[in-house]
Amino acid sequence: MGMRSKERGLFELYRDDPERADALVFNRRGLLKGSALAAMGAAVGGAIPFSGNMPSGYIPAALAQGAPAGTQPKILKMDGKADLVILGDKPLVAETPEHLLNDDVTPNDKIFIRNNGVAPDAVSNPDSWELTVDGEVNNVLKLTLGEMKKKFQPVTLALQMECGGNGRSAFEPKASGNQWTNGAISNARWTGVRLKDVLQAAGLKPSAVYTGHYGTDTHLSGDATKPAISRGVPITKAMEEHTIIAYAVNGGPIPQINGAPLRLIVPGWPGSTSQKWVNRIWVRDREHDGQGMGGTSYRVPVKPMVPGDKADPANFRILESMPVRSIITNVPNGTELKAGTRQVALRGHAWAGENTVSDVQVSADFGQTWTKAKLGKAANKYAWQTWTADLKLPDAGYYELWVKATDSNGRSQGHAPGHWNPQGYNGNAMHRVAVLVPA
Amino acid sequence: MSMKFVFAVVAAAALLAFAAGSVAQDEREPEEPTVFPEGEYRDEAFYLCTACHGSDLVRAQGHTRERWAEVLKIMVDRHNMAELEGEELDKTLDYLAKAFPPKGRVYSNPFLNRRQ
Repeated sequence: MGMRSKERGLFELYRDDPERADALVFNRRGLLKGSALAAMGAAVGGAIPFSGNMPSGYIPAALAQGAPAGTQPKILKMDGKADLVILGDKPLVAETPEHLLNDDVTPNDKIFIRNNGVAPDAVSNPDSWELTVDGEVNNVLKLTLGEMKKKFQPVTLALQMECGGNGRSAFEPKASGNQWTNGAISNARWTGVRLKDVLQAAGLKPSAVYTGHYGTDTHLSGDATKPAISRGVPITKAMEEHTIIAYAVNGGPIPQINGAPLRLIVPGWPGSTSQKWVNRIWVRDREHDGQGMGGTSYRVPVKPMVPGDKADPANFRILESMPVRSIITNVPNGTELKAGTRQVALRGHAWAGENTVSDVQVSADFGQTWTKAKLGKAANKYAWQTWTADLKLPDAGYYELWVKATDSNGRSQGHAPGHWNPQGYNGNAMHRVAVLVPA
Repeated sequence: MSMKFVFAVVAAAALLAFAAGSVAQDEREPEEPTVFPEGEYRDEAFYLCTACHGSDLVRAQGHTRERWAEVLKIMVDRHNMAELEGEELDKTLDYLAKAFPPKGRVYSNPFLNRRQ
């Protein structure tokens, strides 16, 4: 049997009958041995120095990752955007692969794209854009962007903005929705005014408990009466001083596809609360009930549910802070290192929604040993943190570089995302990067 | 829960789309029913879904018939899809469950691809 057919056979076997493949490839003690080790090594393109640590049933990252067999990722070709990976054309959704997120401050071309509806056309005079603040307020405000810039103090902050579904693709069974890997995250420097200042100018009534956000994008069905999405946050989060109405990013205009000329940034919470093309903030006397609120959308189970089971909406709560996550950004998955490489310098970012990251660790031996990374401080609250670490690679062969972070509440990341839910929120499995040191 | 199950979940969970090395410019397929797998009721299902959103969103999913029913319910309740009844609903669900079943592990090995 030739190498090629052996490799293809392994892939097919795992795809078609993973249980049998495990039985054939791994022995009962869970260690790769003999011809099985050779087959696995051939499949990943090199010897596996830490094969003794590979758990039974474990699929190497090089095998487990990637677009479905026989397909290539679809790459976005859009003026002003880097080579993002398209998850969907209609609505346009594209993520930024981990290795394009190496900058400490995410440049505009690398800010991911997530639409729920049809994006509006650019406006010719951004300063005439009007925002209405109404509902449980003493004075209904109708402010143009020009007036807003004059009336309120500007703030500039580096802020995480992350889609609530980031990491969804790792759920098993598959959760519904865009199959994000880790690329629905950005950490750009946003300039705007505090939502708090605008709400205080309107004067909140004691009955104000929640916000409802509206933008000018339209529902995909073409129903003009239906918002593409309309979510909101509790007043306490709206009044938080890092929650801003942004009109600029990284010192210039916001890209049209990312919400120009005006959008909310509600850092650390699901991106769907950071309404793009925002033109109305409705202050509510109850939890907002707009499009994307209720059911199992942007919600997670209170009591853990059986993966794949039918969801009971009564067992769900709104996803607020995003979970802890870390990524390796300087070594793309599938990197062939120089022959003779025995140490690799790693770099990446870690963030944790409303919390800070207290620890980052990396491993090159399938998690048997962990090395503590040097962890930087956030530029400001809600900015991500940059980490660096060196890992030794004892020999030539195939390695996986794993990273995990722990947040200030002591919560870390698992190998698999926990708390399965039908629409796949809160998935924060460890990031794994496969590298090869040629013999 | 057996360790084997745990690790099987780990392995299956690690499905990450990524760009390995150079990636060819995507050549867009036409948005027509043939992008869905063949099967009875394919065209009806295709037009039902793509009236609003791209077919790639459907093709990225893999569900049991029961979970496809949940997905259709969300589309009806929240996204203006016409409510399906009787044979129409059954045939749609039969098609989706058969054409887009729960996904097994799919592999794409960067090193292997590079060497072939």
